[in-house]
Amino acid sequence: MAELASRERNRLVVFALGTFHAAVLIVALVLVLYATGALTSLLSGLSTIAGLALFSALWLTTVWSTHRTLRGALTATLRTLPVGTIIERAAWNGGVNGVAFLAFLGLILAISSALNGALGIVAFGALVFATLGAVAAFLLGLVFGLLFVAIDMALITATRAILDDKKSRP
Amino acid sequence: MPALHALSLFVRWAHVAGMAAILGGALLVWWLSLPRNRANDGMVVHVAERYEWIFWAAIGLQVMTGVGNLGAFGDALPASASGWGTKLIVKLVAVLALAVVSVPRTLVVVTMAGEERPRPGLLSALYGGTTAIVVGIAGLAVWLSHG
Repeated sequence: MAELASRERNRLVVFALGTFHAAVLIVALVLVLYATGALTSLLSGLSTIAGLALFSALWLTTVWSTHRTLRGALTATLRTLPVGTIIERAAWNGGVNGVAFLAFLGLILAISSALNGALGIVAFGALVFATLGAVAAFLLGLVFGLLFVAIDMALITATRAILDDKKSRP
Repeated sequence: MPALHALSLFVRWAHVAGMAAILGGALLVWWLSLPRNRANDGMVVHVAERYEWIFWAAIGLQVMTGVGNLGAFGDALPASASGWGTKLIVKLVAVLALAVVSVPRTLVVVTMAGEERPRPGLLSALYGGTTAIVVGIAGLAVWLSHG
């Protein structure tokens, strides 16, 4: 029973951190694009359904990637694995996340283009996605993986400080 | 009603419903953790743990539907230099801040539940703070929706 509850709590941590990564990435991106005036043209080229599907895909792959990074790393007492292991996992899984999201992106755009009758674009797009796109997505995902593991570690340190604060003790 | 119009309406409804869940839940946990309410401490942590699932699901939904709402403006989206644009930028920064401060809150709740040592004072401070930020964001959202 206690083990079940502990597993449930670990699932909550994975879901929270995965959602945090996906949400912060998109909000920060929207903020930068809006401030630079590039948001309108980007959004006007994207249908509502495609936009919802893209964020769902990013959310799903990021929670999955966080799950792979945090396996056995966090317990209820916030004990973590060695920092080097976590950074290594975050970099690799970030890269894999980038490629997984690219696959979803390709699929969603291919369906959207196929529905518009542009099958030639789908074939050419698949070729680009499968080669250059995969490498670029892996590198981009790796960078974001490293960035978010640094933020997560800072937030875990802040959590420990809150819990260790004598004033907060019962 | 055209299908796209119905979808746009659904996206707006989901955005408002998500905000209601975030605000209502934070308010409930804050209220339960106040000393004068004498709620069972273990029960408050259990409610807080359930709320964290709802909170993060709703945050994902808010981001998803929020971008959808911006997309619905099309070419009529006001420029970032306008008064409306400034309010939107402040709202987006506040959403980022809410997400950042919510990670330690979730981790604190998970740790408390694991150690079975509730700290009502800490919960009250964390959920009071969350409620204050969410009220600020909701105020900005109402202000934005009225131009």
